[in-house]
Amino acid sequence: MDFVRTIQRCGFLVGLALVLAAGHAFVEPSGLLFQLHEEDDGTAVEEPGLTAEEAMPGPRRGTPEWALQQYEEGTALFVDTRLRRDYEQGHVAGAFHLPFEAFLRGRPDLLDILPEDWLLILYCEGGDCDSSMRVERMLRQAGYTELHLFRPGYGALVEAGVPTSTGPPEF
Amino acid sequence: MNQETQQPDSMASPRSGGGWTMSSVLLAARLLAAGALLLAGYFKMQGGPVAFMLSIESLEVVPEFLIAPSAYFLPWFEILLGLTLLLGVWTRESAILASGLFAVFTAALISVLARGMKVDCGCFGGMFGEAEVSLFTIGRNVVFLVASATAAVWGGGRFAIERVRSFSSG
Repeated sequence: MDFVRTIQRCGFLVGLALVLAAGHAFVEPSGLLFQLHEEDDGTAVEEPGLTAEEAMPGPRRGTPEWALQQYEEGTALFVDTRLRRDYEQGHVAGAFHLPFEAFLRGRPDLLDILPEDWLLILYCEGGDCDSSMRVERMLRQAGYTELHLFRPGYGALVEAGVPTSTGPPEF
Repeated sequence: MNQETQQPDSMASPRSGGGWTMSSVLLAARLLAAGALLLAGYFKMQGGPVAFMLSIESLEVVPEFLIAPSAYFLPWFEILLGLTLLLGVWTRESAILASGLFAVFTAALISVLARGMKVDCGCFGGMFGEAEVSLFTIGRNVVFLVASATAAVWGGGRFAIERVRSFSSG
């Protein structure tokens, strides 16, 4: 009978957790059950429309040359979403360090100083890396709209000649 | 009638964890597993379901349709198991489920490491700093697995609330 009682109690614990989780999803739905995967390929997140300035001749938006131009003109802030170790080994000079893990403890303190009205260029390693995509989702949820997911990654920025530096993040 | 409550302490069977030494070991195991579960659950709650969904997604081991339900379910499950283990109520049952949970987490981390992926563990909401999936994070999970498995095999010992007759006879 011990075995049966064990199964019953395990079932009760799992069931109770399911009820609590369902209640949580009901209270805090945010449409997230459906929202998450609509954006999986990154296409559902629309970039802001082109301004007159952006429509002018110049590097195409999203290219390394465009990122370099943004850096040189000081019209965007760079956000490094890689792990701290990678950031310390080399990052875009002046880039903020905001790894996805910072969001796992709630709203990161960095958001208090990260301006909402500047274009933020988010990058990670490039290739298969998706930490910048996850950070972008969290920033959009936090109310940021001026975001650009720089898919080519850090290596492409270095090759394009964007200045870099090493060391720990300032903030 | 429950056999554990019928035995004098000096005659407690090894499986009941009745001796003082064994009970102390079981208390430590229980507290370790409970602490890990409570912290993990608390920080997942604090980060919110979206952050945890994205964290699960990054591991690429959970089917897509299970990601969102898991993000809501797991923190509650961890907190519930953590509380029951901490108090020593339904210890064996909680420890069995906790062992399963730690085993699944460990397998997922091993899978990530084997594929050479470079992702955050996200295990404790970054409480212990960024924790890229590594042999250390896997080893830590194994320690928790051993602790909960110990409680699953030997129960809660004499320091568990369930050893009080009113609980254990229910």
